[in-house]
Amino acid sequence: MNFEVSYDTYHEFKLAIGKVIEYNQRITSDNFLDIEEPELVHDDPETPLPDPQGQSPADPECKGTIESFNVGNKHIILESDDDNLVEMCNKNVQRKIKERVVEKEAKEEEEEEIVAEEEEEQDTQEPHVPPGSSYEKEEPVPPERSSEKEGSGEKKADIQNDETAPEEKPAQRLYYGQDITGNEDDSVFRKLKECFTDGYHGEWAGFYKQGYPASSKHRHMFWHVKYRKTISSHQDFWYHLTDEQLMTEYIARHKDQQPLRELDELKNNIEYGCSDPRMHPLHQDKSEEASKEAERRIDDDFGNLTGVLQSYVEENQVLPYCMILHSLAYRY
Amino acid sequence: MKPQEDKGVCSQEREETQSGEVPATEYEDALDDAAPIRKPEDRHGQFLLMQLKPEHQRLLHEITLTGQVVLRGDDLEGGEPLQRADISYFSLLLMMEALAHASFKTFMEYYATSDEF
Repeated sequence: MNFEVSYDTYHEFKLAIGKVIEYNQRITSDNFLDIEEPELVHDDPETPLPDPQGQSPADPECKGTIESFNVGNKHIILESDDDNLVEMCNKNVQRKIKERVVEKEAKEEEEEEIVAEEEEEQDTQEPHVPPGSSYEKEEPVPPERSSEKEGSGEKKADIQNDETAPEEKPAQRLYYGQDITGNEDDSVFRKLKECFTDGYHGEWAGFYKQGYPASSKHRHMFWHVKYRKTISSHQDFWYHLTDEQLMTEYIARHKDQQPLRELDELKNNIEYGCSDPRMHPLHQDKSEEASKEAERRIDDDFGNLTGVLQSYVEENQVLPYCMILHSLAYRY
Repeated sequence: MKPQEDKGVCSQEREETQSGEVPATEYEDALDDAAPIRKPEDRHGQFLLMQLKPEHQRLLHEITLTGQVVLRGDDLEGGEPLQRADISYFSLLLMMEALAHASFKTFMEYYATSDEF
């Protein structure tokens, strides 16, 4: 060190810096971020003054008109003394509110009308299509006859009057290349109502899906022999079943007839099918048989004992009490 | 005295310090040859330095300047030792904290090289 001070000065200096460090422990450099004296900024003539509207010329929203002000700048208009600006702002706000309300009511009315029309259409159609069916996977199908008649009524009238017009052919409904026209009327799937009590079978039975099931899970029902072009055997048996056999098989499956029958057979044949073997039907039957045999033997025994005693009385004219005890002891 | 450097401490910080546990006495900035204030750390250092007496401020400045003698060889990394005008308030702050936390024996051995000692 190339400077010299007294010990007292150093001692006082160290105490002073210790106090300063201690008293300012909570103050860090973060407390001095971007600190500027505002009066010094305003004193600088070169300092650009802020835009009173809060918009710079580079601001895309700054168009110099009141309508271009954003929501955050509305207070500038309201705080201003110009009544015209306040009235214009209020009118714009009122107009926007009216537009929103009117548009919303109009949309609600349109939605209600659409819903009412859909309900009417659904009422005319029967049964109802539950949501979730795979409409997207369906092949395009020609429209129904009724809709064709409705859609082209005037043209048909003209064609019917024209004698040279070709004969009208009935619309064909194709399903994977197969003509299933009319199947919706005499569909074999209508027999499914025997096992479906909730009408759900109509969803995929083809009653209103123009002849084929709406559900892709049951489309194999159509792939039976009726629509096959080959006679080759197929691993799936339903390819060879007729309509009636198909429906019988399906209804039996739906009602779990075969599993129930097998369960019943198992219940009657398996020895320990129940938790309590005594409750098993097989054991119940055996128990009943055993009890009947026991009753029969008891009846025989008593019958035999009675016969022995009667014979003894007929031979000896007396029946000693010791004879009865001896017979019972001998028997039991 | 550099009045332009006073702008580094705002009135809010002064109020915050004055409302502390012990009211800090604020003296004038006695260092007219310190480096100009450029960073918040410098303002922080100046804020603490102005709570020292002027003679203590100058003493701290001298200690900070002469403390560079501990740098040897490659410690300067090719640079020249700092001159008096290169000592920033942040350097003074660091030296102040180092001195405050140094033991009295170390302090007296390294810095108090007085004949009277």
